[in-house]
Amino acid sequence: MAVTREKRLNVLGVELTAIVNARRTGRVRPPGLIPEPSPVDAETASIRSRIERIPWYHTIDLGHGVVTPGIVDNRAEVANSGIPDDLTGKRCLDVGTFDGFWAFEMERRGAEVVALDLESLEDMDFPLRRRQERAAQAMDVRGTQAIGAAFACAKEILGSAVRREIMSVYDLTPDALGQFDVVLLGDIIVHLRDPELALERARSVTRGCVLVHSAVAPELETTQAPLLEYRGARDHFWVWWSYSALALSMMMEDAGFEPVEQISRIMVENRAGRFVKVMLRGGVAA
Amino acid sequence: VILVREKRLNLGHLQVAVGIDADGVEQIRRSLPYRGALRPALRYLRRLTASANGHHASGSVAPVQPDSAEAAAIRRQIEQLDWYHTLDLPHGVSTPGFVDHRSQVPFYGFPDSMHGLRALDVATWDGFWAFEMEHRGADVVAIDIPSWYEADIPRLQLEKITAEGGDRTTGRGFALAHKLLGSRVQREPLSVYELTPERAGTFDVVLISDLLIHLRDPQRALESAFSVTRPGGLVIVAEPYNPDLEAFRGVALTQFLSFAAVTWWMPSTTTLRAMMQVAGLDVRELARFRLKARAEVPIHKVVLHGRPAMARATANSGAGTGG
Repeated sequence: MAVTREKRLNVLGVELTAIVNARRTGRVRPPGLIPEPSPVDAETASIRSRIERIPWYHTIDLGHGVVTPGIVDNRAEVANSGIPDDLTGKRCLDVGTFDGFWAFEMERRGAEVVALDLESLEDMDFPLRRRQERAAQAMDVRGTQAIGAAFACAKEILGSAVRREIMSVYDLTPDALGQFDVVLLGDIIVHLRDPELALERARSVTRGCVLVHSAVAPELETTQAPLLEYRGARDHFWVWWSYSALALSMMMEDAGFEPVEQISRIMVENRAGRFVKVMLRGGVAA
Repeated sequence: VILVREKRLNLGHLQVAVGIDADGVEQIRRSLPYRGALRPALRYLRRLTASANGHHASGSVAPVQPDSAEAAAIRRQIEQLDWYHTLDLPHGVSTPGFVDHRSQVPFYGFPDSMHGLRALDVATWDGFWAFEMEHRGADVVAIDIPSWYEADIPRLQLEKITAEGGDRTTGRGFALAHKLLGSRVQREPLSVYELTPERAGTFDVVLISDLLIHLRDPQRALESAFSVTRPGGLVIVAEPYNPDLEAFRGVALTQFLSFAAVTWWMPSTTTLRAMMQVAGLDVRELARFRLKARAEVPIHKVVLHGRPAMARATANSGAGTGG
């Protein structure tokens, strides 16, 4: 995919990289991917104008030939995701939903979906020093870092019934939201300071299976030892830990998932670079 | 040559640093000059320094006198309990601890005199380090979880021990030693995660020894310790590390241990340093040594001193508000 424009914005210390690809600008249109929009009907035009005002994280197909210009495109991973084809009558939980790509995908397969997210990017697991600095600046940046506008927009356009809840994965309990047949942790585990607690909380609401999608570091897999690399949330992507697939599997087992199996292992390329991603499935022994 | 062991000994004013490789360690251990001359000499020197510092006699000395009535009474009391720390109690009685820090105290780099300092011993257990810092003159607070049910235990194991039930209160050994030593250390039932200036006050010296590997969230523990450390204060982190990972310099590797032997992780020294830095500390390494313990596998420890780093960003934002 040819990148025609790349913008770096520094918003209060958080660096955002917006990549506008050729397709999005309309200058180059790969044949077959997107139907010719002309003549543009009124509804399509309205959808286009609505999504243009919002920064998108996920690439979501909204119908009417409109795809959101997300910085992460998970569409090619759907076939490897481990999500059952038919989720009719199932309850599913999408943890860290952001713009809702996986939540809408599970809903499309028939599930009743609850999508979890934080109110603001400021509520992420930042190091203490950064939190203190922000507090010392005595300015409210929570609003500008709010998450959810893109989700709400996509939900409305899709006519979705996904229920979005503001809750940290660390606070998940069966009392709060009930039990789920599928619990999805898509690309959040590397951003957590306390991943084992997140897995334990996920286990507490799982009655079917958990799906953990995560980047892994092949250089940690050159030995038989279950290794992690401490990254300390010091880069722009807020990675606390890198994992070997073995370490991540064992951590899922310690959280009470049984058995833990690898559904797929694929190469992914996005703004963070090229990396290996695994989809792990953790069952719940009867 | 990869140095597997670097020892720094503080003998009074004299600091000796020795670096040797793996084969070297074993060769020296077995050699007659070491066993016959160097080891006894080192012991003698240590004893000398200890007595010069007014330190209580360390493990290798004090041949036991025929038990006095007092000593016999103390022995009867300590026999009732399981001991983690080897502690020297009055009347020549020592507790049969799992670890014996007594001869290894110099590695930790405490100020010789801690008079006027407020010190915190995190996860004190039987209180060895709390009593040590009190002995050096500090005003000491020792914290520990009130019950083993509150330890960071994997979900399934915790469910199992909870089902077994039983009293898993902590602190009996501490209480007995505290009484026998006439100590004034103040013990608080508090998890390291709950440490805040509001709950515990602030400290000149904070000690974390053999704790982080048992925690599910070691980073949060270091951040908590940082939050109660005074500007110019000292956080001593003395933790086991994984010697197998030391060859990968510059990469902060950690081995996941799946809570085998109550241990979540075994980090490299690089990882420990990085975690301390992220928690806001400037880090300096003091010593590496093998912990004296009744463990089946060798426990390699590193001592790191962390001092609260100057907050660069705070200086920047200060300038910003001024302008």
